[in-house]
Amino acid sequence: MALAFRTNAGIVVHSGDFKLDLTPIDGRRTDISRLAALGDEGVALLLADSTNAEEPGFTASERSVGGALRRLFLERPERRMVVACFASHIHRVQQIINVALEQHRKIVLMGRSMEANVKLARKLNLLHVDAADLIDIENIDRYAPGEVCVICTGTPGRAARGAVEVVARRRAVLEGRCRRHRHTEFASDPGNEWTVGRVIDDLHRAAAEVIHSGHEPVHASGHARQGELRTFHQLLRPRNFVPVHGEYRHMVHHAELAHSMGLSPKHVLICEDGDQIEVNKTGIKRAGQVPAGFHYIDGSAGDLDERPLEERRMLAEFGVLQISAGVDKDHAKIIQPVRLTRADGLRANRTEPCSTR
Amino acid sequence: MLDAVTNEVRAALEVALREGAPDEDALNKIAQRAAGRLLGQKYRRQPILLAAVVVL
Repeated sequence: MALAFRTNAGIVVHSGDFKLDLTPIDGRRTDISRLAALGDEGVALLLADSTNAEEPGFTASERSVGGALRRLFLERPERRMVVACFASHIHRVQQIINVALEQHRKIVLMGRSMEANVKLARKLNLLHVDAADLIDIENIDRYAPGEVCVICTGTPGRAARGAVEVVARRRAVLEGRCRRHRHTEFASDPGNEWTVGRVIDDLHRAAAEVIHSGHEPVHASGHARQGELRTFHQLLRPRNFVPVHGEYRHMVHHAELAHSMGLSPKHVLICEDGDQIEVNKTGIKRAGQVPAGFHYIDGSAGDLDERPLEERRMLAEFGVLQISAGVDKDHAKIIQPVRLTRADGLRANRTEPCSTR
Repeated sequence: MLDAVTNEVRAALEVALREGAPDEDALNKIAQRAAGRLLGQKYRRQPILLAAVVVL
């Protein structure tokens, strides 16, 4: 959903995380005429999603994923299918459920956020699946592999472990099936390649067959490619532009795209978190900095200062080393030997010095 | 690595005892510092160090 703000300096439009999908799952197409009307009115500043600014062409419709999933499921009727996607991507979850139900598979939801999102979406009538078609992961062995579809979350981010957990950590539940019976589908958005790559590696280690967007069209990005970005710029015709949402390189490419659409460099500004910007009739400029970044809170205790955070980092990274000994001060002797007990990041077999942290 | 740390701590405690370390708190700090110094400088590790040196 894009937002338009009416300010004293003019209209400011923020695209949000977007693509122009003319065949969306829910039938709610982008209101292109409304965007054009804003453009006619005059947009002082546009801030727009840059994630796919390096990619030419147009992003595939979400609807296209359903067809690919259906074919893959049909080609593997005997296999247990594990599909990873954003927990909040209700349209994708619905498509997976539809394909699975067509094959009379039961649905297993894996991950707290997936369970929470599905529960909420069902309550709001945004997702349609009967409770009878959902089964708990603990009951998965009551069904043949071809009778089950696991939907798990966590493909793109740091916590991208859902599928690995299904295939590897839950091996106690899933073990006993041959390699061909575990089939997982993956894809990534720009900026997430490294973490997704690690998950895919881990899945291979766990003997899963992995299909990702490099092999099959099992993913449609939610971010506009260059074709849509050009359309977006042409509809809104902003006087100033700030690329947002993406890695720095994506924002640079988006800025270049804006230049190619006729905006002069003094009307385009690439910002970092915390930059304040000032828009006036002559252009756009950086006008200061505000604190921005992670803000840690500790339950209801309010803000955390640096010391406990540092201690927690050390605990996570290096663990704990307990030193114990008994001494006889009168005779200046150690009478209970020095003993080290660890729980942690110190590896027992590590004997060489580390050159880097 | 842990053997090296153990030796370092033992050596530091022996020196402190010979020089008349005052109490358990002081001995604990000596043990922590000896372990921390070696782990940090040689192995680039900074674990939380909990020392329990007891005067028997």
